[in-house]
Amino acid sequence: MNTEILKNINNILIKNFNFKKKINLNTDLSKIKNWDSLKHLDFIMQLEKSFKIKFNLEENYKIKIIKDFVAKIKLKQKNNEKKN
Amino acid sequence: MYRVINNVGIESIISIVPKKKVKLDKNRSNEQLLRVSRVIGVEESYKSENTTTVELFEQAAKVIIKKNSINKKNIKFLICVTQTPDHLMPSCANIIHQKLKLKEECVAFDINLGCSGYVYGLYVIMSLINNSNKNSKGLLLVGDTISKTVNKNDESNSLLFGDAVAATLIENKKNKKNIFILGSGSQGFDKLMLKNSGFNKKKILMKPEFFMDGKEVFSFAINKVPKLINEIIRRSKIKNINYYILHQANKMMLNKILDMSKVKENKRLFSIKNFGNTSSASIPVTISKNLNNKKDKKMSLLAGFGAGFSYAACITDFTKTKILKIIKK
Repeated sequence: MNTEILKNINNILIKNFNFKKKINLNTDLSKIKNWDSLKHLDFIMQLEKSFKIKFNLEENYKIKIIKDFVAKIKLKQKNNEKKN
Repeated sequence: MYRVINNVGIESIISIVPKKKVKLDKNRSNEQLLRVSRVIGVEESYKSENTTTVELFEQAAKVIIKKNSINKKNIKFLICVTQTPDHLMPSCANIIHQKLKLKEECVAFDINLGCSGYVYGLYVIMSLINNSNKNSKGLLLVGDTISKTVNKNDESNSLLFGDAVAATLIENKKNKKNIFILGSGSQGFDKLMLKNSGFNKKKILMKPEFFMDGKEVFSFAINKVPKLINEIIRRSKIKNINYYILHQANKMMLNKILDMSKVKENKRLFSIKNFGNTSSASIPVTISKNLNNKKDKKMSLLAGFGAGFSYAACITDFTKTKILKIIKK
């Protein structure tokens, strides 16, 4: 499941944010050149759309490292499954 | 600070924007501009160019006086809220006072606040009206020509920040209740600034340039505003709020704040798509845009937050307020 989520995140970054190289679980988005607050919010929106989840307010800027995004997405998807 | 002001109400509101419009062209715009539109929710905004804040204030004041057939001698208070005054001295309010030929006994002064300014202005003018005789009226003018401070090469902020002003007429009204919470953040004054806009020890700096640390301002808003909304509802015990009208900073952020407060989508009012972020005028512009033709109940919660990390919320009733159509001048 982690690999699938990572693959989708990579697709989002390549397609919408012009990433040339694939990222890995340890990539810290805040350390990417020209990564600004607007791009970060856009990225969150793209994740929400793609994975059909919602990040809460505090999570918006707190999560920066890809493995933390993957863990959070996994947890949210699980919670969604439970609700359904 | 929590305060209730009784027996004062909002008689009328008018918003004015300059004629020149900047519009996002979805086919030609670069990725960053499309991102501003996608995340922040703005597609067009208005620019003042050759018009000044005082000129827009004067037009708004004249329209609201005419449309409400106000006898100018009853205007006892005139307050302007702006951070883009025509001059540092004298105040905009004194200029408008003379242009409108108001009575000498009319109290006129400016308040230097940005996005929280409309609610602060309402609080101050309602407090003054509350302590004056029954025919007294107050005129609150809010707004900025903030686009003049944005670097012309900064396409994103040029689209995002729009110019607008609004005039609000306040008077004594029996059985009206207005609830306020006002406050100021303990840090963050340097996160949202007009740099090079004043005096310092060594030299006079008069080349204002807009600066915003987007991430820090976002963090301030998401930490403060949901608590502010919850606190004013809890303390006022008012549950039947029809509309939530927040300062139009960022649509994604506002939706997340309102999600957190469990506000239904049909109660959320926006204007950012068509007017951008219009500083202290954004709340009245949103009211003018959305409530102009509605005849239903309009108990509303207003919340402003921004420069200086100042914040303010208010619950007030616009049910009988004459809300005029937005004018493009």
